[in-house]
Amino acid sequence: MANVAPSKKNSSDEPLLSPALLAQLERMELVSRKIFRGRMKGERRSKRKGQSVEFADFRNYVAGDDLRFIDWNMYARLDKLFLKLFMEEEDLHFYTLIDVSPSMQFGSPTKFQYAKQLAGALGYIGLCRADRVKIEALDGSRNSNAPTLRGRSSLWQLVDHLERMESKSTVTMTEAVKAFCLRNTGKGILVLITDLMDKSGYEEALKYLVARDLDIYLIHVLSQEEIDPDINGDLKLVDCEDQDIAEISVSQRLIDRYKQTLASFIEQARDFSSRRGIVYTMTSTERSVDRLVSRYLRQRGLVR
Amino acid sequence: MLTWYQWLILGVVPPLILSLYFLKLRRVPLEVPSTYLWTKTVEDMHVNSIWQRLRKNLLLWLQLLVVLILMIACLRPGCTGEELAGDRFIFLVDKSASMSATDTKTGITRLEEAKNQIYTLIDRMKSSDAAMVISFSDTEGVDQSYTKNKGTLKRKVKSIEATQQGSDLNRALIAATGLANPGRTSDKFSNTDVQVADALAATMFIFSDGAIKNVSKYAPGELTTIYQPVGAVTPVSNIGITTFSVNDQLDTGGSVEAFVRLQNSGFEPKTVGVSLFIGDQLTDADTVTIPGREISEDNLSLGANDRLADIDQSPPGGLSLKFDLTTVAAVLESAAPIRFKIDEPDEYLLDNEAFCVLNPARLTNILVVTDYNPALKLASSTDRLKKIANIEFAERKFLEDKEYQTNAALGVYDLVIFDQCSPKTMPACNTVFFAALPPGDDWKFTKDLEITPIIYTNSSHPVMFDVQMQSVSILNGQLIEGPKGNTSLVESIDGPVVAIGPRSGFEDIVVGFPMILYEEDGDTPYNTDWHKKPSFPFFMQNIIRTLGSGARFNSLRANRPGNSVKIKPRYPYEEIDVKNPKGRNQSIKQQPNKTFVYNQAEETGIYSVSEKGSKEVDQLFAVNLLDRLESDIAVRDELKLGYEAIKGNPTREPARRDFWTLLAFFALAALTLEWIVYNRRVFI
Repeated sequence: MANVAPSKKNSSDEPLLSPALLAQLERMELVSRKIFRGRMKGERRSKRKGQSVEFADFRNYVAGDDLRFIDWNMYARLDKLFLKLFMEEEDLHFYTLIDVSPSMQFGSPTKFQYAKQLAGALGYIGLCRADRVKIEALDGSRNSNAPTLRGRSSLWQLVDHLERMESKSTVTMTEAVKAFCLRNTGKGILVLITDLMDKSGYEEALKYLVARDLDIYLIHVLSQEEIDPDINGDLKLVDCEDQDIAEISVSQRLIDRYKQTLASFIEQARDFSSRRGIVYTMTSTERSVDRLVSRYLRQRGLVR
Repeated sequence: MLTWYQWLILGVVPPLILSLYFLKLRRVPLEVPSTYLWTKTVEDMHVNSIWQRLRKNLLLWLQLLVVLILMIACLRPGCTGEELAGDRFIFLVDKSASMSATDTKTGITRLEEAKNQIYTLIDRMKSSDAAMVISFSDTEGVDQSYTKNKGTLKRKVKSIEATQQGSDLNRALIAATGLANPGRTSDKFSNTDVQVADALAATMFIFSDGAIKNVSKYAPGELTTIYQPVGAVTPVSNIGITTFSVNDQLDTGGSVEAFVRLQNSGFEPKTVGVSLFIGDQLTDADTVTIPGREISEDNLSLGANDRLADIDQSPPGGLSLKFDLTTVAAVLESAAPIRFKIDEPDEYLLDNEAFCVLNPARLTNILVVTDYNPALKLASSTDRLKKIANIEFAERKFLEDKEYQTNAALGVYDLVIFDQCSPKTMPACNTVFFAALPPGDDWKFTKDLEITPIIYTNSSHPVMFDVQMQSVSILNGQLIEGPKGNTSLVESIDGPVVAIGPRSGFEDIVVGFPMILYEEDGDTPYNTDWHKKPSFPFFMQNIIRTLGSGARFNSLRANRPGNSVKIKPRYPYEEIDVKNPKGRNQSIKQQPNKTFVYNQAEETGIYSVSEKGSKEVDQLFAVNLLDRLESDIAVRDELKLGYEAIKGNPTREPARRDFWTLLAFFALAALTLEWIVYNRRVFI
């Protein structure tokens, strides 16, 4: 029986982000559907009035206001003190969560490799726009060693962090997300890259994220072997995570049925996500990262 | 058939395969990212997973199929009937006249029906079977010797043509049984006798309507005989002419009568119109009713079909008719054909017409060579003989005369009676010798006799009809030894004294004693008192009537189709033409004995004989079927062969056709498929 065992590639010999891809990504920008308050001055318009050159509004002077912002022309005309308000520009929190469960080690390239590439690509876009980029592994640890990066010069740090990332977590997705939420309180864009293959379910985890009022993008990565399994014979399927066994005798009928199940699983995830304002994107590891970013994520509005 | 424990073993096999299938640990482990989706997929299948697994397992099904086929094969399934049992067959086809009756279901002739049945049998033959075809009527012919080629067999069967002859199975049976039992006459236990060949069992199918002369001897040996009656399933009513003749004027003293006998082979009386033609002229016509078959009292209560089964117990009904043709014959200048016809057509047309020839009155030429024999002279001079014969007397020296020699060689005489003398060469006619021997070594006097009583007269011979010789005294005489095939007519206590023997177409009678003794002193006393007895004139009359028929030779004799006809023309032609009823001429050359033999009389009707190239008809002769058996077209249920009665329509021995070889082949095919599936991992 010709079993097509998924190849396990932890790291690729190829660079995580090719120069061509980087050149392409430099022109892009992460888009948030919501306007968040940043921590630092950045390149994004803030809710707060600030010190940018862009005029926002006037308001009455109250004691204690900075006299530098009084519009003296208005005072001359109206004999009243008005304060000139300007638009503030701030930075953006950009979180990327990578599922590091063993199931991500399947596919060619592996889903994990694919997730890292994607996270790197999106992170680089954030770095280029002076956003606060943080890429975290969903490993459930309370103390994340993930650096918060800003600026294009942090690219090497980002790549280094991604390359050191390993997929050996055994915690459930819910626990891992919960831990993330406790650690990070900032608002911003969150991209969750996962295969959603968690027997305890992904719904709870997403709910946690939704509760954080983040702008959430769910990228569902599946390997080709999962989308169109090329197997036959009498098989004993062993779950790589919990060693669970499923005995099957492969037939066309079973394969058809599996595909139906997969389709309904994807549909469920899409439905669940869209109901909660999560942007869901399903992708196969066969689809190249630049294609995904430049076409599919642009369509979904994550980048522009 | 299998015994119970064999059944048990067979029954255990399928469950064993099933259990082995479930027990087998052949699942290949395969690590997958998650069994999550797979578990969900097979969830509903788990409910009937066993059956799902069975349903989808081609290998298992193939294994079970192989076992099932083998089990069925072990049961030795078969069917009956289609194939012929045996491997050698003889198809004996009756092509006699009655086989041209059209009383079959489809209206074709019986012969065609028989042919169709044979085609079916040939088709049912296995490829290794051999068969031969023999057709018979009066004569038999091996149309096709043993062959396995069905095409040839069918072609030969197709080429069998109906004849207008009677049927005689004897020789056909001899041919068939001889081929089946070749070594029968050899002595197994003799050292000197070389075995001819082993007897080969064969099955003989006789396709006939059963209207066959009884076969007296029949030893089938290795031959299995099957009689396939061909013809009507219900009794048919056929009116046929079984006798048609014109009497010899010698018998009736000048009056000419035509006799007809009609036969009805049905059970019901039937009324038909009949016509008599002389030449093309309708001379007489009548409407007659012919009674049906006689039904014995035992069979009165039986239904038609049962009566049919016992047909030989009910002889066909018959009716005799007589037509007076004296006045017609009196004005006749040359021989005229007479045709008798039944007007209503029936299913068997061949016997609805009969032919005869009416000859003008002609005197028979008889020469009596004697020096002195008043008894002979007296007996030959009766008024009755004078009306029919021109009797010429001559002395013994006339034999040296050229006139005699020419006349004798040309066959001018119809009969020559030699009284105590014999010619140098035999004349071309019948002869009677009194106390003399014909030239040659065929006849011999073996012993002198003195005063001997006659103890036996062969009254069954027409020459001795009404001749009683027991009271005749003979003084001196001699015992006779005749040629091969002679018949003793009168016997003394020591042996034959009068005998008749054949001589290439003629007959010679030798009487071993003289009527009159020529003594040296010139006295001529009687050697016997025969001339005083009424038996002598009767004897003379019989001789003249029987041997003096002359030119009427053919017209008076009943010629059957297929028989050779001996023709003696009135004049000694070198070559003659015989024209058959269809108008086809055939030239025949003279035989050494001045006669002609015609072998092509295959059809009924009037044949005319003339000198080659001449249009003047020398004589006519008729060929008639006139066969009671052939006219009785009721199909016999039973065929009597020797002491054996063979029932018709036998339940053909059911040939068992086994399918186990076919099943074994299927099992092998299934096994091959299984092997391919196993090796190629073909899945549905």
